Amino acid sequence: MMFESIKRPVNRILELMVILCMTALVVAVVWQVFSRYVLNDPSTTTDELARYLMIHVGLLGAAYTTGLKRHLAIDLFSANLKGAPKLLADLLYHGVIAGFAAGIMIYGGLNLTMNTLRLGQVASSLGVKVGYFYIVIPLSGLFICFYSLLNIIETFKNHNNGSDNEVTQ
Amino acid sequence: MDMMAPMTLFISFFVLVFAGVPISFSIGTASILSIMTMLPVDTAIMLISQNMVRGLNSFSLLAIPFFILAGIMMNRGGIAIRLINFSQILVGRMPGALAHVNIMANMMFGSISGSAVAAAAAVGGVMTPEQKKAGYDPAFSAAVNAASCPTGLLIPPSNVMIIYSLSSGGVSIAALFLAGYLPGLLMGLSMMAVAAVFAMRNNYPVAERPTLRMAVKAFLDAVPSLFLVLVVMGGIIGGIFTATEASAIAVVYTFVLSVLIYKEIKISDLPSVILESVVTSSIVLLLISVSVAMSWAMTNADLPFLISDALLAISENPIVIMLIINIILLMVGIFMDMTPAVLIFTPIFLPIVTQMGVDPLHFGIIMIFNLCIGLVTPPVGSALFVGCSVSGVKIQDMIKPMIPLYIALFITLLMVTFIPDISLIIPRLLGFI
Repeated sequence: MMFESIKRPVNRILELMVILCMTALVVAVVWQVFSRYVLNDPSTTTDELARYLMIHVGLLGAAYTTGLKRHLAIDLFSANLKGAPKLLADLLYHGVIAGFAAGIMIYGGLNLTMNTLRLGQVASSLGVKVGYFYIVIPLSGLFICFYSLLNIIETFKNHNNGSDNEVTQ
Repeated sequence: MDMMAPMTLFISFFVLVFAGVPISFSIGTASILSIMTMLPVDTAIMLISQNMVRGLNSFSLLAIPFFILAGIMMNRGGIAIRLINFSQILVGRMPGALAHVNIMANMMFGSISGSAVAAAAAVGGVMTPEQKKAGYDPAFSAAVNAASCPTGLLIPPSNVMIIYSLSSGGVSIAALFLAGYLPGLLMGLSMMAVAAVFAMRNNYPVAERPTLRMAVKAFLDAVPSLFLVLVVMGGIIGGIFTATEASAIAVVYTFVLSVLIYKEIKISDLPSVILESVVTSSIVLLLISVSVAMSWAMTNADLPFLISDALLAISENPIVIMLIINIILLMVGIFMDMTPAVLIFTPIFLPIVTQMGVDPLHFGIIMIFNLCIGLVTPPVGSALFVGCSVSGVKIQDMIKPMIPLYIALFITLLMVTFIPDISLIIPRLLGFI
C-alpha cells in the first residue's frame, strides 16, 4: 500500500522520539526519588525536567496514537455504517482531528510558543527558555495533521473502490 | 441568562461523540466552539492551548504513565498464574472453588496492574479453560470473570482515583486509595456470594485440600507481586512518599522482578513495552489536558450551575438526587470509558453533591463504582468483551448468568452510596479525614 510506505518512516521517527522521552522521564523521576531519599539532596532540575518531558510524552504520544487510530471513541453507531453515511462519519472523524490539530495545536501552539519566548520566561533550574519546551505542541499538531490527511485520502479511496474496509479501528 | 455557550458545548460534544469522533478531540472541539460564542476566535484558541499545557504540567500526573508502565511489565511478567495459585490456597475449599479463585485473583491482579481489562484477559485466560474442564457452565464462568474484573479499580493503587483526585481539585490520593478498600472487597464478596449460590445449585466440585507444602510454595511465589502493593500503599499511607514517587518505585521494582529475576521480559522487548505504555498513557494524558480546557469552558458557560438548578428543580431530597446522579453515571458508564467519564462529570456533579453534604472522598468511590458497572454492561462494556473473547462464549449467552451478578452489583452500589461509612471508615480511622 502506498499509504503504508509514507506512514512507516513517520511512525518510526515518532516511535523513537516517544521511547526516548519516556525513558528519559523514568530516569529523571527515579533519579529524583534517589536523590531525595538516598542522597538527601532532592534534585530540583529533574522535577522541572520531568514535567516538561511528560508534556512531550503526552502530546507526541497522542500524535502517534492518532496514527494508530487508538484514541478512545464511542463507535456504537458509526461502526455498522456503510456507503455514504460511512463516508460522512469517517470524514467527520478525521476532519475534526485535523481541524483541532491545525487550529489549536499548530496555530495556537505556535502563538503560545512565540509569546512565551518573547516574554523570556526561563525554566529556573534548567536555565532554558520555557518557550522552547512548547515547540512540541505545534510539532505534535503537524504529525496529527499528517496522519489525518492521509486517513482522509484513504477514506475517499476506499469509498470509491466501494470497499467497506474498517477505517476506524 | 445567555444559553448560547452552554448549549453549544453540550450539543456539539454529544453530536461529535456519538458520531464516533474520539472523545478527547470531541471535548477539545466542543470547548473551543463554546468559548467562541463569547470571546474572539484568537482569544479562544489561546485559552484552549494554554489550558491544555497547564493540564499536563503537573508532577502528580506523572504517577499515571508510571503506574501504566509498571502494570504492563507486570502483565507480561507472568504474575497472573502466581496470583491464581495463591488464590487457590485462599478460596479453593468453597463451593464452586474455581469461580472464587477467578474472583480473588481478579481482585489481586486488578489492584496490582490497575487494569480491569488486563485482569479479565490474564486471569480469565487461565481460569475459563480450567472451569470448562471441571464441568462449569462456560457462560457462567465467563460472566463471573467479567463481572469481578473491575474490583481492582476500587482496590488501590488505582489510576482512576488519581484522575478523580486531579479533577476534584485536590482530594487526597492516599485517602481515596484507603476509601476504595472496603467497597472493592464488598464488590468482590458480592460476586462470590452469587457464584456460591450458583455452584451449590449445580453441585460444582470443591478443590482438594492443598498440602501445607503446596500452600507455602504458592504463598512464597505470590509474595514478590503482593509486596509491591505493600510498598506502594505503605509508602503513600505512611506519608513516606507521594503517589508519583511510589509509581517510580513501582516501575523500578517491576523492572527488577520481571526483567532481571523472572526473566519473562527480555531487554530487547523493552522498547515495545515502553511504546505500549506511551500509547496507553497518551490516550489518558490527552484526555486530561483537553478536560482542563473544557472545565474552563464549562465554568465560562455556567454549566455546573445550570445542571445543579435542573437537578434541584426535580427534587430537593438528597436521596432522590443521589439516585438520579447514580442513574446518570450508570448510563454514562455504559457508553463511555472511565477516564473521560471521571474527567467530564466530576466538575459537574461534585459541587452539587458537596452542597448536599456528601464527602468528596465518598463521591469519588460512588462515581468509580458506577462506572465499574458500566465496564461490564453491553453494548460497549470493554471488560465484558474481553470476558467473552477469552472464553469463546457469545455475548448474548452471557446475559442470563450476568443478571444475578448485575443485581448483586447494583445492591452493593446502593449500599456504597447510602452508607458513607463503607468508604469513609478506613480513612477516618487512619486520620485522613
